[in-house]
Amino acid sequence: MRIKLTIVLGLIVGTVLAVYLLLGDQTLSPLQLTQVKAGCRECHSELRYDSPSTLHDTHAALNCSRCHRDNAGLKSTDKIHTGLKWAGLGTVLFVLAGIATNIIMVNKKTGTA
Amino acid sequence: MFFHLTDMSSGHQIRTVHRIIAVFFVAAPVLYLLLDHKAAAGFLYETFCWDHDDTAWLKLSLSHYFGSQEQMPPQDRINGDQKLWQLVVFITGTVLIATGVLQWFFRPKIPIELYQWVLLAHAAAFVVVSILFPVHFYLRTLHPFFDESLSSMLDGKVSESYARKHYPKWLEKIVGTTHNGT
Repeated sequence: MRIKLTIVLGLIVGTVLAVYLLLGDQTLSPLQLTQVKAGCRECHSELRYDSPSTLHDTHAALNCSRCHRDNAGLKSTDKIHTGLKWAGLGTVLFVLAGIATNIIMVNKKTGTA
Repeated sequence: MFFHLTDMSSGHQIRTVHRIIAVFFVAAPVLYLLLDHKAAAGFLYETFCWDHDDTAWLKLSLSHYFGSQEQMPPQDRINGDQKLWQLVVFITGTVLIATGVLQWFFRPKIPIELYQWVLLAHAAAFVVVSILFPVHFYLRTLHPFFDESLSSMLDGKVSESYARKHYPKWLEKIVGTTHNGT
């Protein structure tokens, strides 16, 4: 069993590592993003990308509106995220109300109230 | 965490806690699969193989839970709504793991447009589970019809009368070989 476990875990980790190494970077990593933002804030009160550096160059080469609605968030799915949040909250409240109703109705019918 | 998704991406502490929980979330089914692959295969079989009685149970279940006296279709080891819950857990769990791995390990490697949809799919799967989990939790712990459900999850046993009432198909299968009152 230990051998089987080691083989399976090794395959999973190996596959993840192999794919990670084979694929080229298409965007900045979270660490790079943090470095970029920290670098900007050293000189600028707002996030701006007009100082020379490799990281700045990489980020500045991208069209901001491709990814960001503004400095606070991603663009394309923002509205769907907001809709999902409120739809999810509404449904959870509806379900909780249904459970409360069920407790009352079933207790009345079974006489366990 | 869902409300401040973009804030979370720069919040190292929350991200670390999220990832520690994710490791356990992934490790549990993987260990289950490796240590008891027969039970795991049985779980998958139960989850994906539905018969007419299962769907018929599902259609009648809402009125049943509200106290309807209508005769319910006979059920095997788990009933239709338990199968639905297992299906939801399997599908949303798979989505959460797949999109979580992409976010954790492949964020710089995938196009930003795809990454945005990965984030959305991860959140959507979490919302679906968040909606259905309270229903499952209530039915299995507090609903008076299923008073042996919680204990059966702990020790794997139900009384013969409970099995006859809720899972007569299953009882029929096992009663000839293990007729010992549990």
